[in-house]
Amino acid sequence: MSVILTEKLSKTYGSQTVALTDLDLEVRESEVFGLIGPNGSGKSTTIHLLLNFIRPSSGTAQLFGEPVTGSKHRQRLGYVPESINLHMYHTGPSLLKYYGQLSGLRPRALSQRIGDLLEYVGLDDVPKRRVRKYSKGMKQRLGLAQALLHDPDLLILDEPTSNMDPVGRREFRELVLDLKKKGKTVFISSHILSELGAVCDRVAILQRGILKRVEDLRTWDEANDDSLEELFFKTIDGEES
Amino acid sequence: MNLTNVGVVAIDYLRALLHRRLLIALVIVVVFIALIFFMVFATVSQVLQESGQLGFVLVVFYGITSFCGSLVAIYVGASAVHTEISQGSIAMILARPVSRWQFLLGKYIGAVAVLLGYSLAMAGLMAVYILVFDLDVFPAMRFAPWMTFCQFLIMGTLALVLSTIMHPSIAAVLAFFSDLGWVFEFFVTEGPFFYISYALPSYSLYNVWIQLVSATPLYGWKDLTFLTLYAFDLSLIFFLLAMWRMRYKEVN
Repeated sequence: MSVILTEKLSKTYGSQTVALTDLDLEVRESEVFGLIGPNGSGKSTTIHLLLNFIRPSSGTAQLFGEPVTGSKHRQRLGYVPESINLHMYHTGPSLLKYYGQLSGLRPRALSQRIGDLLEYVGLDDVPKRRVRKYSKGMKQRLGLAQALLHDPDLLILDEPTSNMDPVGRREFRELVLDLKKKGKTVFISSHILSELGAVCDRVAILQRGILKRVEDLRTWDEANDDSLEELFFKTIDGEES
Repeated sequence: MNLTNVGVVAIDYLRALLHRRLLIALVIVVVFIALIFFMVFATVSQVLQESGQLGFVLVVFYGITSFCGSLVAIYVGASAVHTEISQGSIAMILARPVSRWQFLLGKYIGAVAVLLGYSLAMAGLMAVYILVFDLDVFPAMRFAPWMTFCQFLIMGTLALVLSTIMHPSIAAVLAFFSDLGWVFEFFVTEGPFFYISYALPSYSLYNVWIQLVSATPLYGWKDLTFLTLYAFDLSLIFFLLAMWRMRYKEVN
């Protein structure tokens, strides 16, 4: 079953700036899928289109077989944006409660889930501290917790490790592998190739808004000595030469 | 139609407003003004009563607090949606099963609750002054808090819809100065252009202070009903425009 499906998805800003051109992409259930590309290649645009934050100039996008313009499928979706912007006036637990209520979780289950998640991301020792007093790393952890709150089937992560320290990156890798074990679908955009190479089943390479290549890392690893980094540069350089 | 999310967003907006310094500063100013007037009534009420100006002092109090209320109205209206978009916090809300109309309606209900609370507080303070100091008030003052609420409603909703199109500070200024009633009152009193006045917001009709100082006829129940309907109608039109704008607005 396709969890994410796009057909000829394009986005143009004004009459000049082409952010994405005819993207055909399919992400299957229980797959860890990486979207890689240099800055400005259209990774965030793709995610924003999938989340219906912006409207496509042409083409279609579906999540769980439903057009992205609907809201029902978002019950099964968790999202961690590139920059975590939280409501600063909340404490960690009260912010998670707010998001949990919006996700339709029942009060008793929500309370239990908040406790478990705060412990999981290591924020259970500061329950009364306001988010405005959190460090960048703590905000990142809380951002991750809000995405996992309703136990989503699909997790969309936009440049999740760009602001993380080495410890955070290792924890992130373990988290994705843990989600993979649980059969969740994970869609990650990043330009940190080493991170994706360790966790992804398949990767797609975007350049200047055009999909250059989709590679299955499970079979590709066995047949090639090249790293994901080499694959990436071969694809990009091949295009440029 | 899931209204739970609307309520959750509304309550959270009220919570957010309690942490906005500008709003807190405005409320402190109003409390300070209320205390000053209380002292005025307590110390010189005898003199004012004899000169027949005690009721007028209450009208001045009403005028100042309704002006501050106008600032509150445009602030809660203009910042309701724009703050979430500019800070980027809207992303984690709209990535959940929350539709855009639920988000906007929740914000709007939160804003209206603040304006209603402010008007009730004004009414409560005036009632205290009238009862404690045995004031002889103008008949129109009975309607003043409700009229003021209607004015706040139009201003706040206009600020909300404008903030979805332009920067909220510009939206706030435009909403504050959008009362074109005086143009039609003094310059365009007939002809086809006069009918535009029915579609434009007019705040002066709701300002009891202006009615009192200009000695124009005061309100009756019929006027009150029509002005209330006009305010609700205009606010509904503005809100529907904001919904339409929000539906197609790109947030990233």
